[in-house]
Amino acid sequence: MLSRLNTDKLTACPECDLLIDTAEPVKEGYVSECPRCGYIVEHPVRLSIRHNFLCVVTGLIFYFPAMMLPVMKFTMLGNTQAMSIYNCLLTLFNTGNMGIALLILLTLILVPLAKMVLIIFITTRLYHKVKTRYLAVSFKWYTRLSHWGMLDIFMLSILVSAIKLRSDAELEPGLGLYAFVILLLSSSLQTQLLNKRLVWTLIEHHGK
Amino acid sequence: MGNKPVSALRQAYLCCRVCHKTLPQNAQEVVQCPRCHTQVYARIPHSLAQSWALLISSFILYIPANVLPIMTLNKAGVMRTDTIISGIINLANIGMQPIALIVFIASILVPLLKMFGLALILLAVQFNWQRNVCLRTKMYRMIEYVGRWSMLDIFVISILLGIVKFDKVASVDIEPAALLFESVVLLTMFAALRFDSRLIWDDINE
Repeated sequence: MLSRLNTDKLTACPECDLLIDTAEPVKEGYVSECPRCGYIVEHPVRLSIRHNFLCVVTGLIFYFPAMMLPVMKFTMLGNTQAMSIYNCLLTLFNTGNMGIALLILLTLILVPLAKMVLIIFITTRLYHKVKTRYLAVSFKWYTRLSHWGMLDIFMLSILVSAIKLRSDAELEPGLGLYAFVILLLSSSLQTQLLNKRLVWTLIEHHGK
Repeated sequence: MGNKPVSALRQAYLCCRVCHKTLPQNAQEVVQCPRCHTQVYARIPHSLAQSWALLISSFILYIPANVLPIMTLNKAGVMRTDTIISGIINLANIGMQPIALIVFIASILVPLLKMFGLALILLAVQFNWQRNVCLRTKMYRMIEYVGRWSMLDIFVISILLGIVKFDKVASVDIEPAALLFESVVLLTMFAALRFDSRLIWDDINE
């Protein structure tokens, strides 16, 4: 697909507002940095809309198992407790910890789902070159939400709590953990593959 | 260097905060970005004041978040109430130093460095300090990236609550400091988001 990102002759650095001369194209594989603050202004890599789409579809397939199936099983004196993210949310609500329940609901459940749905919408529209006015709005929301997904932090929390619990009783990984790892990997791969500047340029060309 | 770097604003160019499009500035104050339909301001309005407000609130909440207990562990009738710090010390004492270090970094070092770092950046803009400008930009970038990781402890507590449910044998209760600490992290994240990093460079004499 396109690898030339910048059609403007002048670009303002979004981080330090230096006006940079970008008339000369940057070669593929090279990076142009802001000479003042080091912000990466242009990084021409090929954008594969299909790869992004595939990553998100994988993520969506494993999303519901990751949320509903037990992540860990904990056995103590013959009793076994299984914990899934959904269960965890319910326990938080039932014990009256609304603030933390809302945090989990937003950062682990709703934001990752919303991001995947938005990316599916955006990639299919771009792939078929359909003109809609919602394209810009959806990508705007995607960039806003991307700061608030916390799947990666939750992964580390699972490890920390597993090590904390290990000494007390038997601990077993559940199916949900494998689904969660696949969800996390596919979503971080998709973030790596998405060239935001190029998507904006494409939206400008055949969005509304 | 032949040409001296000058900010885009002084040459009548605006940059959209959302999609990073560079636009020529019109006479009117508010411009709508033709690409993402967001209102484009030269700088985020009231950026400094809002960041200060959020940051000061987080400093105030940080004290009870560390003094009050964060969770209670009931193991066979023996209650153990921990604050953030005592939980880390306990982890180190029972021979889990690496995990204690991770939790220490995420829930003590990162929030503190972040709050003081952001305060330093805001002070520098407020009083127009001229030195180490580049360092401050890099610091801001790091603060923005690393801030979310402080939620680690909150998630660990939620997992413990969700899995240690054996009525009288073992159970976990969440105490008030958990919500306070979550608020501290959220407030500092919002403070970093509301701050316009371009302000760092605005009054620098080249």
